Amino acid sequence: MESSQMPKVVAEVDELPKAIVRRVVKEKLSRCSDAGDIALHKDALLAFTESARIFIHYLSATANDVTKESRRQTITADDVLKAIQEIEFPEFIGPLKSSLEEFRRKNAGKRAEASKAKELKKRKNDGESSEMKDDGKRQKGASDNEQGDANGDATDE
Amino acid sequence: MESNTQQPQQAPPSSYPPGAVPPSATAGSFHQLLQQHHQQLQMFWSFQRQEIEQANDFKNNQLPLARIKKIMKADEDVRMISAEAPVLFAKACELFILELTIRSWLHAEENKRRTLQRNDISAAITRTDIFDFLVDIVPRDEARDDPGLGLPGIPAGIGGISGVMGAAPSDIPYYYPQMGQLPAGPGGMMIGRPAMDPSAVYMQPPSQAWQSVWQTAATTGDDESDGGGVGGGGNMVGGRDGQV
Repeated sequence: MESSQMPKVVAEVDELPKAIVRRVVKEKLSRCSDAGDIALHKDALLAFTESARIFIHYLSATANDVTKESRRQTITADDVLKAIQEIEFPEFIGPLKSSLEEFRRKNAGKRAEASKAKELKKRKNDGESSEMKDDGKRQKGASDNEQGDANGDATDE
Repeated sequence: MESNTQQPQQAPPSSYPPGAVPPSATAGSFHQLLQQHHQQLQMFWSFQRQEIEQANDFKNNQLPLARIKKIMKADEDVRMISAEAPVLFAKACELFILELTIRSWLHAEENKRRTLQRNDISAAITRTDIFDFLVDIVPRDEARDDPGLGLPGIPAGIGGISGVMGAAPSDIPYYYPQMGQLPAGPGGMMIGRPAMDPSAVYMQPPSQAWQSVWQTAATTGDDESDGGGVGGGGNMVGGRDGQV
Protein backbone atom coordinates (compact mmCIF):
# COMPACT_ATOMS: atom_id res chain seq x y z
CA MET A 1 0.00 0.00 0.00
CA GLU A 2 2.70 2.43 0.96
CA SER A 3 4.21 4.24 -1.94
CA SER A 4 7.55 4.62 -0.23
CA GLN A 5 9.05 2.10 -2.62
CA MET A 6 7.91 3.91 -5.71
CA PRO A 7 10.52 6.07 -7.38
CA LYS A 8 9.56 9.71 -7.65
CA VAL A 9 9.24 10.92 -11.18
CA VAL A 10 10.14 14.55 -11.50
CA ALA A 11 9.56 16.25 -14.80
CA GLU A 12 12.83 17.49 -16.22
CA VAL A 13 12.95 21.13 -16.94
CA ASP A 14 15.22 22.53 -19.62
CA GLU A 15 17.22 25.38 -18.19
CA LEU A 16 19.40 27.97 -19.85
CA PRO A 17 23.12 27.26 -19.53
CA LYS A 18 24.31 28.79 -16.26
CA ALA A 19 27.73 29.69 -17.60
CA ILE A 20 26.28 31.96 -20.26
CA VAL A 21 23.78 33.56 -17.93
CA ARG A 22 26.59 34.12 -15.47
CA ARG A 23 28.72 35.78 -18.12
CA VAL A 24 25.93 38.15 -19.13
CA VAL A 25 25.31 39.16 -15.52
CA LYS A 26 28.96 39.51 -14.57
CA GLU A 27 29.79 41.63 -17.59
CA LYS A 28 26.95 43.96 -16.81
CA LEU A 29 27.91 44.16 -13.15
CA SER A 30 31.48 45.04 -14.04
CA ARG A 31 30.10 47.97 -16.05
CA CYS A 32 27.75 49.04 -13.24
CA SER A 33 30.38 49.56 -10.61
CA ASP A 34 33.61 51.42 -11.10
CA ALA A 35 34.95 50.45 -7.73
CA GLY A 36 35.89 46.82 -8.13
CA ASP A 37 34.03 43.60 -8.65
CA ILE A 38 30.52 42.80 -7.59
CA ALA A 39 30.22 39.18 -6.52
CA LEU A 40 27.32 37.01 -7.57
CA HIS A 41 25.83 34.67 -5.02
CA LYS A 42 25.04 31.18 -6.25
CA ASP A 43 21.36 31.53 -5.38
CA ALA A 44 21.22 34.79 -7.25
CA LEU A 45 22.55 33.11 -10.39
CA LEU A 46 19.82 30.49 -10.11
CA ALA A 47 17.25 33.24 -9.75
CA PHE A 48 18.52 34.87 -12.93
CA THR A 49 18.46 31.60 -14.83
CA GLU A 50 14.95 30.75 -13.65
CA SER A 51 13.65 34.22 -14.36
CA ALA A 52 15.04 34.15 -17.88
CA ARG A 53 13.35 30.84 -18.53
CA ILE A 54 10.02 32.14 -17.30
CA PHE A 55 10.54 35.19 -19.46
CA ILE A 56 10.83 32.88 -22.46
CA HIS A 57 7.56 31.20 -21.52
CA TYR A 58 5.86 34.53 -21.01
CA LEU A 59 7.07 35.88 -24.34
CA SER A 60 6.28 32.65 -26.23
CA ALA A 61 2.77 32.52 -24.92
CA THR A 62 2.17 36.12 -25.86
CA ALA A 63 3.72 35.66 -29.30
CA ASN A 64 1.70 32.51 -29.76
CA ASP A 65 -1.46 34.46 -29.07
CA VAL A 66 -0.48 37.01 -31.68
CA THR A 67 0.05 34.19 -34.18
CA LYS A 68 -3.25 32.52 -33.40
CA GLU A 69 -5.13 35.81 -33.66
CA SER A 70 -3.84 36.14 -37.19
CA ARG A 71 -5.05 32.60 -37.92
CA ARG A 72 -1.55 31.39 -38.60
CA GLN A 73 0.35 28.39 -37.33
CA THR A 74 3.95 29.53 -37.24
CA ILE A 75 5.34 32.11 -34.85
CA THR A 76 7.21 34.64 -36.95
CA ALA A 77 9.75 37.31 -36.08
CA ASP A 78 7.04 39.95 -36.42
CA ASP A 79 4.83 38.09 -34.00
CA VAL A 80 7.65 38.14 -31.48
CA LEU A 81 8.19 41.87 -31.96
CA LYS A 82 4.48 42.54 -31.47
CA ALA A 83 4.55 40.41 -28.34
CA ILE A 84 7.49 42.41 -26.97
CA GLN A 85 5.32 45.52 -27.29
CA GLU A 86 2.47 43.81 -25.55
CA ILE A 87 4.50 42.74 -22.56
CA GLU A 88 5.76 46.30 -22.34
CA PHE A 89 9.43 46.00 -23.20
CA PRO A 90 9.46 48.52 -26.05
CA GLU A 91 13.10 49.44 -25.46
CA PHE A 92 14.06 45.97 -26.68
CA ILE A 93 12.62 46.50 -30.14
CA GLY A 94 15.57 48.45 -31.57
CA PRO A 95 18.28 45.94 -30.61
CA LEU A 96 16.00 43.05 -31.58
CA LYS A 97 15.54 44.44 -35.05
CA SER A 98 19.31 44.83 -35.41
CA SER A 99 19.84 41.22 -34.40
CA LEU A 100 17.21 40.13 -36.86
CA GLU A 101 18.78 42.06 -39.71
CA GLU A 102 22.18 40.64 -38.93
CA PHE A 103 20.78 37.13 -38.84
CA ARG A 104 19.04 37.64 -42.18
CA ARG A 105 22.20 39.00 -43.74
CA LYS A 106 24.29 36.10 -42.54
CA ASN A 107 21.68 33.65 -43.73
CA ALA A 108 21.37 35.26 -47.14
CA GLY A 109 25.12 35.06 -47.48
CA LYS A 110 25.14 31.44 -46.44
CA ARG A 111 22.32 30.49 -48.75
CA ALA A 112 23.89 32.23 -51.71
CA GLU A 113 27.14 30.43 -51.01
CA ALA A 114 25.38 27.13 -50.55
CA SER A 115 23.50 27.36 -53.82
CA LYS A 116 26.62 28.51 -55.64
CA ALA A 117 28.51 25.56 -54.24
CA LYS A 118 25.73 23.24 -55.32
CA GLU A 119 25.76 24.62 -58.82
CA LEU A 120 29.51 24.34 -59.10
CA LYS A 121 29.35 20.78 -57.86
CA LYS A 122 26.66 19.87 -60.31
CA ARG A 123 28.47 21.42 -63.20
CA LYS A 124 31.62 19.66 -62.18
CA ASN A 125 29.81 16.33 -61.99
CA ASP A 126 28.24 16.85 -65.34
CA GLY A 127 31.58 17.81 -66.79
CA GLU A 128 33.12 14.61 -65.49
CA SER A 129 30.39 12.48 -66.95
CA SER A 130 31.13 14.40 -70.15
CA GLU A 131 27.59 14.19 -71.39
CA MET A 132 26.60 17.77 -72.03
CA LYS A 133 28.91 20.45 -73.18
CA ASP A 134 26.16 23.01 -73.22
CA ASP A 135 26.82 24.98 -70.06
CA GLY A 136 24.06 27.50 -70.59
CA LYS A 137 21.33 24.89 -70.62
CA ARG A 138 22.81 23.04 -67.69
CA GLN A 139 22.70 26.10 -65.49
CA LYS A 140 18.99 26.58 -65.92
CA GLY A 141 18.35 22.89 -65.60
CA ALA A 142 20.24 22.77 -62.32
CA SER A 143 18.12 25.35 -60.58
CA ASP A 144 14.91 23.79 -61.80
CA ASN A 145 15.86 20.35 -60.64
CA GLU A 146 16.88 21.35 -57.17
CA GLN A 147 14.31 21.16 -54.48
CA GLY A 148 14.27 22.66 -51.07
CA ASP A 149 14.66 26.13 -49.77
CA ALA A 150 18.15 27.04 -50.77
CA ASN A 151 17.56 27.70 -54.42
CA GLY A 152 14.07 28.97 -53.87
CA ASP A 153 15.39 31.68 -51.61
CA ALA A 154 18.36 32.35 -53.80
CA THR A 155 16.07 33.27 -56.64
CA ASP A 156 14.31 35.68 -54.36
CA GLU A 157 17.47 37.68 -53.91
CA MET B 1 76.52 54.22 -31.97
CA GLU B 2 78.91 52.45 -34.28
CA SER B 3 77.52 51.24 -37.50
CA ASN B 4 77.67 47.50 -38.04
CA THR B 5 76.74 47.57 -41.64
CA GLN B 6 78.97 47.47 -44.70
CA GLN B 7 77.07 50.14 -46.58
CA PRO B 8 76.29 53.08 -44.42
CA GLN B 9 72.84 54.13 -45.44
CA GLN B 10 71.49 57.11 -43.62
CA ALA B 11 68.16 57.35 -45.44
CA PRO B 12 65.51 58.86 -43.16
CA PRO B 13 62.87 56.33 -41.98
CA SER B 14 59.98 58.17 -43.62
CA SER B 15 61.29 57.38 -47.05
CA TYR B 16 61.23 53.69 -46.37
CA PRO B 17 58.15 51.80 -47.52
CA PRO B 18 56.52 50.35 -44.38
CA GLY B 19 57.07 46.73 -45.21
CA ALA B 20 60.53 46.89 -46.61
CA VAL B 21 63.42 46.41 -44.26
CA PRO B 22 66.62 46.29 -46.26
CA PRO B 23 69.10 43.93 -44.70
CA SER B 24 71.64 46.66 -44.72
CA ALA B 25 69.54 49.13 -42.69
CA THR B 26 71.22 50.86 -39.84
CA ALA B 27 70.31 49.95 -36.30
CA GLY B 28 68.80 53.40 -35.84
CA SER B 29 66.24 53.27 -38.65
CA PHE B 30 65.41 49.66 -37.91
CA HIS B 31 64.67 50.62 -34.36
CA GLN B 32 62.38 53.36 -35.59
CA LEU B 33 60.58 50.89 -37.77
CA LEU B 34 60.05 48.61 -34.82
CA GLN B 35 58.60 51.50 -32.91
CA GLN B 36 56.26 52.23 -35.76
CA HIS B 37 55.08 48.64 -35.77
CA HIS B 38 54.67 48.72 -32.02
CA GLN B 39 52.54 51.83 -32.27
CA GLN B 40 50.44 50.34 -35.00
CA LEU B 41 49.93 47.22 -32.92
CA GLN B 42 48.90 49.29 -29.95
CA MET B 43 46.40 51.20 -32.03
CA PHE B 44 45.09 47.97 -33.42
CA TRP B 45 44.56 46.41 -30.01
CA SER B 46 42.95 49.44 -28.45
CA PHE B 47 40.57 49.58 -31.39
CA GLN B 48 39.82 45.89 -30.92
CA ARG B 49 39.14 46.44 -27.26
CA GLN B 50 36.71 49.21 -28.10
CA GLU B 51 34.96 46.98 -30.57
CA ILE B 52 34.70 44.24 -28.02
CA GLU B 53 33.29 46.53 -25.38
CA GLN B 54 30.72 47.93 -27.75
CA ALA B 55 29.68 44.67 -29.27
CA ASN B 56 26.77 43.27 -27.33
CA ASP B 57 26.10 40.70 -29.97
CA PHE B 58 28.93 38.53 -28.79
CA LYS B 59 28.83 35.00 -29.99
CA ASN B 60 29.97 33.90 -26.55
CA ASN B 61 26.96 35.51 -24.96
CA GLN B 62 24.49 34.06 -27.38
CA LEU B 63 22.13 31.72 -25.65
CA PRO B 64 21.89 28.41 -27.49
CA LEU B 65 19.03 28.51 -29.98
CA ALA B 66 18.25 24.82 -29.66
CA ARG B 67 17.82 25.11 -25.91
CA ILE B 68 15.61 28.15 -26.30
CA LYS B 69 13.47 26.29 -28.77
CA LYS B 70 13.15 23.40 -26.32
CA ILE B 71 12.06 25.75 -23.58
CA MET B 72 9.49 27.35 -25.87
CA LYS B 73 8.11 23.97 -26.83
CA ALA B 74 7.63 22.99 -23.21
CA ASP B 75 4.45 24.99 -23.62
CA GLU B 76 2.14 22.65 -25.47
CA ASP B 77 0.24 25.50 -27.03
CA VAL B 78 3.32 26.53 -28.91
CA ARG B 79 3.48 24.56 -32.13
CA MET B 80 5.46 25.88 -35.05
CA ILE B 81 8.28 28.33 -34.69
CA SER B 82 9.97 30.08 -37.59
CA ALA B 83 13.75 29.88 -37.81
CA GLU B 84 14.06 33.55 -36.96
CA ALA B 85 12.04 33.44 -33.77
CA PRO B 86 14.62 31.76 -31.51
CA VAL B 87 17.16 34.35 -32.64
CA LEU B 88 14.91 37.09 -31.30
CA PHE B 89 14.23 35.14 -28.16
CA ALA B 90 17.93 34.74 -27.48
CA LYS B 91 18.49 38.47 -27.81
CA ALA B 92 15.39 39.37 -25.83
CA CYS B 93 16.47 37.02 -23.07
CA GLU B 94 19.87 38.60 -22.91
CA LEU B 95 18.35 42.08 -22.74
CA PHE B 96 15.97 40.93 -20.06
CA ILE B 97 18.80 39.52 -17.95
CA LEU B 98 20.63 42.84 -18.33
CA GLU B 99 17.58 44.77 -17.10
CA LEU B 100 17.13 42.47 -14.16
CA THR B 101 20.82 42.73 -13.34
CA ILE B 102 20.84 46.53 -13.22
CA ARG B 103 17.80 46.73 -11.03
CA SER B 104 19.03 44.03 -8.70
CA TRP B 105 22.38 45.73 -8.43
CA LEU B 106 20.67 49.00 -7.44
CA HIS B 107 19.11 47.21 -4.52
CA ALA B 108 22.45 45.74 -3.43
CA GLU B 109 23.98 49.21 -3.65
CA GLU B 110 21.24 50.66 -1.47
CA ASN B 111 22.08 48.08 1.13
CA LYS B 112 25.79 48.75 0.76
CA ARG B 113 26.60 45.24 -0.34
CA ARG B 114 29.13 44.15 -2.92
CA THR B 115 27.55 40.78 -3.43
CA LEU B 116 24.38 40.38 -5.45
CA GLN B 117 21.96 38.17 -3.54
CA ARG B 118 18.69 36.48 -4.33
CA ASN B 119 16.72 39.04 -2.34
CA ASP B 120 18.12 41.79 -4.56
CA ILE B 121 16.46 40.08 -7.47
CA SER B 122 13.24 39.69 -5.50
CA ALA B 123 13.31 43.39 -4.75
CA ALA B 124 13.85 44.27 -8.39
CA ILE B 125 10.90 42.09 -9.35
CA THR B 126 8.69 43.62 -6.69
CA ARG B 127 9.57 47.16 -7.67
CA THR B 128 9.18 46.81 -11.41
CA ASP B 129 5.70 46.46 -12.84
CA ILE B 130 6.79 44.78 -16.01
CA PHE B 131 8.44 42.06 -13.92
CA ASP B 132 5.16 41.12 -12.29
CA PHE B 133 5.10 37.86 -14.20
CA LEU B 134 8.00 36.75 -12.01
CA VAL B 135 6.41 37.46 -8.70
CA ASP B 136 5.95 33.82 -7.72
CA ILE B 137 9.25 32.63 -9.12
CA VAL B 138 11.54 34.51 -6.77
CA PRO B 139 9.32 35.08 -3.79
CA ARG B 140 9.88 37.94 -1.48
CA ASP B 141 11.16 36.96 1.93
CA GLU B 142 9.25 37.97 5.03
CA ALA B 143 12.33 39.69 6.44
CA ARG B 144 12.42 42.78 4.28
CA ASP B 145 15.14 45.31 4.53
CA ASP B 146 13.02 48.17 3.27
CA PRO B 147 9.75 48.25 5.19
CA GLY B 148 8.81 51.62 3.79
CA LEU B 149 7.78 50.09 0.49
CA GLY B 150 4.35 48.97 1.44
CA LEU B 151 2.41 46.70 -0.85
CA PRO B 152 3.21 47.62 -4.41
CA GLY B 153 0.09 46.21 -5.91
CA ILE B 154 -2.52 43.57 -6.09
CA PRO B 155 -0.29 40.58 -6.89
CA ALA B 156 1.86 40.94 -3.80
CA GLY B 157 -1.20 41.46 -1.68
CA ILE B 158 -2.90 38.34 -2.87
CA GLY B 159 0.25 36.34 -2.46
CA GLY B 160 0.95 37.55 1.00
CA ILE B 161 -2.40 37.46 2.74
CA SER B 162 -4.09 34.13 2.72
CA GLY B 163 -7.78 33.97 3.50
CA VAL B 164 -8.50 35.21 6.98
CA MET B 165 -12.11 34.59 7.80
CA GLY B 166 -14.30 36.35 10.24
CA ALA B 167 -12.56 38.37 12.90
CA ALA B 168 -10.60 40.76 10.78
CA PRO B 169 -8.18 42.77 12.84
CA SER B 170 -9.01 46.41 12.67
CA ASP B 171 -5.84 47.34 10.92
CA ILE B 172 -6.52 45.00 8.01
CA PRO B 173 -9.73 46.31 6.51
CA TYR B 174 -9.27 44.42 3.25
CA TYR B 175 -9.80 40.74 3.07
CA TYR B 176 -8.44 38.82 0.17
CA PRO B 177 -10.21 35.55 -0.37
CA GLN B 178 -7.96 32.56 -0.82
CA MET B 179 -7.32 32.48 -4.52
CA GLY B 180 -5.48 29.20 -4.54
CA GLN B 181 -2.41 28.83 -6.67
CA LEU B 182 -2.16 31.85 -8.87
CA PRO B 183 -0.40 30.95 -12.07
CA ALA B 184 2.53 33.21 -12.62
CA GLY B 185 3.15 31.76 -16.02
CA PRO B 186 1.50 32.50 -19.30
CA GLY B 187 -1.99 31.83 -18.11
CA GLY B 188 -1.74 34.23 -15.24
CA MET B 189 -1.01 37.39 -17.11
CA MET B 190 -4.12 39.08 -15.83
CA ILE B 191 -2.57 39.33 -12.40
CA GLY B 192 0.39 41.35 -13.47
CA ARG B 193 -1.54 44.28 -14.79
CA PRO B 194 -1.90 47.11 -12.30
CA ALA B 195 -4.71 48.42 -14.43
CA MET B 196 -6.66 45.25 -13.94
CA ASP B 197 -10.14 45.80 -12.75
CA PRO B 198 -10.30 44.07 -9.40
CA SER B 199 -14.03 44.38 -9.22
CA ALA B 200 -14.06 40.97 -10.84
CA VAL B 201 -12.47 39.70 -7.66
CA TYR B 202 -14.53 41.56 -5.13
CA MET B 203 -17.95 41.52 -6.66
CA GLN B 204 -18.42 37.81 -6.16
CA PRO B 205 -17.76 37.19 -2.50
CA PRO B 206 -17.36 33.50 -1.85
CA SER B 207 -19.43 33.52 1.30
CA GLN B 208 -21.66 35.50 3.60
CA ALA B 209 -18.91 35.86 6.15
CA TRP B 210 -16.84 37.52 3.51
CA GLN B 211 -19.61 40.01 2.89
CA SER B 212 -19.93 40.86 6.53
CA VAL B 213 -16.22 41.56 6.70
CA TRP B 214 -16.69 44.10 3.94
CA GLN B 215 -19.63 45.71 5.72
CA THR B 216 -17.54 46.05 8.85
CA ALA B 217 -14.71 47.55 6.92
CA ALA B 218 -17.05 49.99 5.22
CA THR B 219 -18.44 51.31 8.45
CA THR B 220 -15.18 51.64 10.29
CA GLY B 221 -13.80 53.81 7.54
CA ASP B 222 -10.42 52.62 8.61
CA ASP B 223 -8.77 52.29 5.29
CA GLU B 224 -5.48 54.10 5.40
CA SER B 225 -3.23 51.36 6.60
CA ASP B 226 -1.96 50.26 3.21
CA GLY B 227 -0.71 52.24 0.32
CA GLY B 228 -0.51 51.38 -3.29
CA GLY B 229 -2.77 49.03 -5.05
CA VAL B 230 -4.54 47.85 -1.98
CA GLY B 231 -6.12 51.22 -1.34
CA GLY B 232 -7.07 51.44 -4.96
CA GLY B 233 -8.69 48.06 -4.86
CA GLY B 234 -10.83 48.99 -1.95
CA ASN B 235 -12.16 52.03 -3.68
CA MET B 236 -13.25 50.06 -6.65
CA VAL B 237 -15.57 47.95 -4.58
CA GLY B 238 -17.51 51.03 -3.68
CA GLY B 239 -17.41 50.29 -0.01
CA ARG B 240 -16.00 53.73 0.59
CA ASP B 241 -17.70 56.03 -1.80
CA GLY B 242 -20.82 54.32 -2.85
CA GLN B 243 -21.86 53.08 0.59
CA VAL B 244 -23.03 49.66 -0.55
